[in-house]
Amino acid sequence: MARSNETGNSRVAGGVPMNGVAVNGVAVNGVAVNGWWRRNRWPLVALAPILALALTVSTYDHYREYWNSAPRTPVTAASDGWVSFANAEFRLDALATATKLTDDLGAPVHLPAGMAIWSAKISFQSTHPDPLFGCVLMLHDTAGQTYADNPAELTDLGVNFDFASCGPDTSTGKTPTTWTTTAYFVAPTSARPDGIQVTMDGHLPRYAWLTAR
Amino acid sequence: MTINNPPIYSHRRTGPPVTRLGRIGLRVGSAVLIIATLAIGTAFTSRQPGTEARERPFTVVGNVGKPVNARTFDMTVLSVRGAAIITDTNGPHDTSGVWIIVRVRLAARNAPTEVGYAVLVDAEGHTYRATGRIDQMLLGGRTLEPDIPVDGEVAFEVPVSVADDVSIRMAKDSDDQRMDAVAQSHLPITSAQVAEWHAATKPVTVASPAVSQ
Repeated sequence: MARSNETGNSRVAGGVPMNGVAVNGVAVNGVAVNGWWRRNRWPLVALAPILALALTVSTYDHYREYWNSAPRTPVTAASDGWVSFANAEFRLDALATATKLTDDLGAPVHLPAGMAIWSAKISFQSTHPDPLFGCVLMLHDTAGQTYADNPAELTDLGVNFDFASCGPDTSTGKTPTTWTTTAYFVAPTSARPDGIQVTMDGHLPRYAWLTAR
Repeated sequence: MTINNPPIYSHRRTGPPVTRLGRIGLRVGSAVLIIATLAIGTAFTSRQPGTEARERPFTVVGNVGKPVNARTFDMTVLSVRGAAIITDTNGPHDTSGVWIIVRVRLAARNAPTEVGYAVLVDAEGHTYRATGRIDQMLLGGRTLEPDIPVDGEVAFEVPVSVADDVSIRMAKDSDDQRMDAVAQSHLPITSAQVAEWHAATKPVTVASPAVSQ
């Protein structure tokens, strides 16, 4: 015989089931249904997707933060060879090993064994009054490694070179709409550079991917 | 006339009424359950590692002469020497302890990185930061390029009493090593060497970093 519970939550009077089916886990008419489970079946059913949604939203937020913390989505060149990114357009004119660098006295620089110097000539165009603020140039190789421009190794060796910058020369008081820069990098002789990666503050995970034409 | 009343469904418990003693027993039982739940919860949480332990760095230990993986770079201890006085462009720097000068080889692994954290840790777990009394050219500001190893020295000022049992630790971030890799190597220093260095009167210059030849 069915029993009512102490808290009175069972819809039973004197152990008699309301609908003649079952109460409190005791089978009536051959069907066993617990009263609490039966009463809360819809909230329980809803709980699973709600929990899944909460976990998904929370996880997605963290994943998006992680995804946006590094360059992952390349912006590649249009058919004319220019890459339109941030507030400017870029084009890699040449990427090659630099073999004719000298020191401040004009003497050839002797590189440590296993190290090569690479130069990248990049053209820019922009009509923005303060273009490419926070721009970073990196050499990228086929193994996925990246190398910074203006490396300290060149300074150590006394190499005479101009520090590269994405931005135009504004020393004349005017901001040009087109300009070029040559960036230098060091990499192991075993490295096979395949392009230049340009990142900008506030634009990650997108980055401009420049390859030599 | 007979009136067939419908069955009365009640939320009240059936059976004999609960006595005053019974009600008190129910309340005490509830209180005991709540206290037991809190006690179990407290015991469980008090046995969990604290934030410091949970987010501690991953210390990777390696021998002198072998590269130790610090996630973004490899550290190799090449040699160690000591002195009572070190000198730089600002003049000599003496100490009531002893200067420990560690020659290391550092190389970024996949992307340009800096090494901002260098300490000696003694047998008691005390840490001694790389001295700020001279410019440490290898630390904080020197960008390392992947697979271009750089050799240089780092100077530490430690008490004489601990100098014969110290290990060097290096990591990327100068202030926050939580959940990051820290490379560690025990330094081969004897008590006799410490006594010799402490008594030395000739100033020693800490070597600047240079690409490994």
